[in-house]
Amino acid sequence: MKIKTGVIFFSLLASTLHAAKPRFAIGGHIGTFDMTNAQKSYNAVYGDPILTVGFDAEMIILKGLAFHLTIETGSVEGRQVILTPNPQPTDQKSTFSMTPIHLTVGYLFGEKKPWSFLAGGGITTVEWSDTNSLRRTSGNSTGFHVLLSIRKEWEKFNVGANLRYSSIPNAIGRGGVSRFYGEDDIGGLSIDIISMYKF
Amino acid sequence: MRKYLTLFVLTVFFSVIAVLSLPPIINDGEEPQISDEWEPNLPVNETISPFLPDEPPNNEEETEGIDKGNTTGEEVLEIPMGLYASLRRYASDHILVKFKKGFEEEFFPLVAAASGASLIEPMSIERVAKVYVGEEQSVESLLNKFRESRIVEWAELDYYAFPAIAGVLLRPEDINDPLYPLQWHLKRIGFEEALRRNPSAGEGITIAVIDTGVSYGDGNSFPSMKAPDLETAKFVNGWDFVDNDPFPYDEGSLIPESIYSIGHGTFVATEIAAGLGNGLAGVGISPNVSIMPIRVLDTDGFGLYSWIAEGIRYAADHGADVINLSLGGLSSSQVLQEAVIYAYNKGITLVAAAGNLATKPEFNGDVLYPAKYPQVIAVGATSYRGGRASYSNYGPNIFITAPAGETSSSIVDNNKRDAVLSVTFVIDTTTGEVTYGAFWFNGTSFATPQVSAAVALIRALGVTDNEAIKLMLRETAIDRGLAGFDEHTGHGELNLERLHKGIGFN
Repeated sequence: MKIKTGVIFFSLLASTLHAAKPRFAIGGHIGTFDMTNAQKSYNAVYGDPILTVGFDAEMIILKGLAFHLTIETGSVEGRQVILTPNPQPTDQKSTFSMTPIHLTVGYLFGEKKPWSFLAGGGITTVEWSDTNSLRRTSGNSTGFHVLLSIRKEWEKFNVGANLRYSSIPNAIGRGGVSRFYGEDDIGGLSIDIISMYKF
Repeated sequence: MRKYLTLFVLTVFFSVIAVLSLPPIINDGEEPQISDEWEPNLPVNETISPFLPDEPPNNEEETEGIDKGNTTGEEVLEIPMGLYASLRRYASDHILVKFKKGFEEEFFPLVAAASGASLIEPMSIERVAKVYVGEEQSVESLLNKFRESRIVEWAELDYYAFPAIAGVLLRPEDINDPLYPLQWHLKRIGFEEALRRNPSAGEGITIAVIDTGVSYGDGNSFPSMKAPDLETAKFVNGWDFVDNDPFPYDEGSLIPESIYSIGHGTFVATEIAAGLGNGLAGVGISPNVSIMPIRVLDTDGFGLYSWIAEGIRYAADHGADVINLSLGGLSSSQVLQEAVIYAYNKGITLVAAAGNLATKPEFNGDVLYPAKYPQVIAVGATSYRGGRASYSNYGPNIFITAPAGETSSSIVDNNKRDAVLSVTFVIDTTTGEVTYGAFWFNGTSFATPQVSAAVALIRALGVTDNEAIKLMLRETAIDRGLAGFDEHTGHGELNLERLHKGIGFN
């Protein structure tokens, strides 16, 4: 029954998309992610923003309805700390890794013009892990994001910048510095340089 | 174009499937999946028992092949569990009363006359007084009278606390031998690595030892003399609330049903601040701290809650950073809790013994007061084998444990006894002979100063927030017993090495 429903659903979807004359683009990005939602904890142990690389796919239908998929990954190294009023780092290494997937629905303004602008929002899911000499914790957490993107358009490709704010609540805060500061959200601000090839 | 469309539809299909398989975006209150996958480099012995608590090896079969030293049975003195608790519960000649704001001391004689009390004696605690029973009056009837009075905020019995000692090995070790290698509890809690990382050794921190007093004086005779190995220790002024004088010397506390009196507070002090590298006996965990001796336990080993409350407030008002309470009582009390809150609100870290009544069902094994108060770090004991010591009280209020041995004090490895080794004195009360030396003691009393010293070390690094201190202790403790927090060993066993390596992000 489920398979039958799925087949019907995606047949309808495919025919709808065909009728909507979709335009496609795929590409990649490099960027930085700053965990602003757990700022105190993050700055205490890691401090530096996380460098990210990722894959992007985009579909535009109708006059500018855009679906944007981003899969990225990054990690950062820091030091465990003694919890003084200004946390003191020790020589013990700590590593945070994350692989977020963002699915955005938005609107692309000026698709055929030299400069285009995309604004949207969607869901984010993050596979993350935090490893130090005391323990390794990991999880899969879900939240939301908003995305602003500006691109310089050419006939077959574009280059642009993405600004994304995400919120991933209830991810951390069970232990360590994040428990002390009462921070549980691993979302934050990311800035990416993106380039995509248009079909 | 058609193949691109097919490709894109497939991409979207798999993306949708992936998204649908994720947890819902709206948090429904469920915990995210967090896994603790590994815990490397645990400096623990490998013979940790999977059973809780550890059973003391007290029969012939279990102790076969173990050198029990003098086997006459006189050497190891186990303190009968529950004896302290059974002997005295509360003072029979007075109660404690806190009068409401605005009620002046000048009316005390009138109140005494009206209530039939023989005397109302103000304490050093604001608006609190000791009300002594009159002729042909019981504390219970006096208590009821005052509880019904509109001028009274609260009235209660003045309960007794007692030292949380479980056992004593009466044979002193040779004081001239360097005994550090026998102090296995130090190795177990990662003392050396902590010292390497934190050579301050507690410099600038004051620990109030609220106990039987401390042998810290400069006199030539007992009790005003200094214990060996405290020669280099620093002391600040304290108070004797038993005799109400400024000389809180350790006069010993009688072990019930024995002829021996022991220097309980002195043992606690040497565990914390015995000299390092002086060639004498063993070492203390934070030898550079200042000890504030406060005497609240009398020569019978009992201390009124009123003395302890005054002692806590004295420590809080005179610059203590940490308060060590290797004692406890069965009853909760306003006077005690208010003193605890008073000190806690001044930013002082309070550390107290959980108690040693776990083997006595009539006392239900629950954590004693003041350790049971949420403002206090409740410390239980582990044995050499690593599990909860059989005597160590337990329950949801246990925060952390430290190694303090089993009551048998049996030899466990290369002359090491299953107890804590440090310096104090023992008095033979039949002859009055006082013997200073290094002794093996066990009980949550001697787990507690290890945690107090650890707090001093961490405070010396600049960690002053009590919640930060508690977090660091619990995060870096080595898990014992059941995984994670359990009511037998709390968050685990104190580990100074990990404490000094800091904590992580999550």
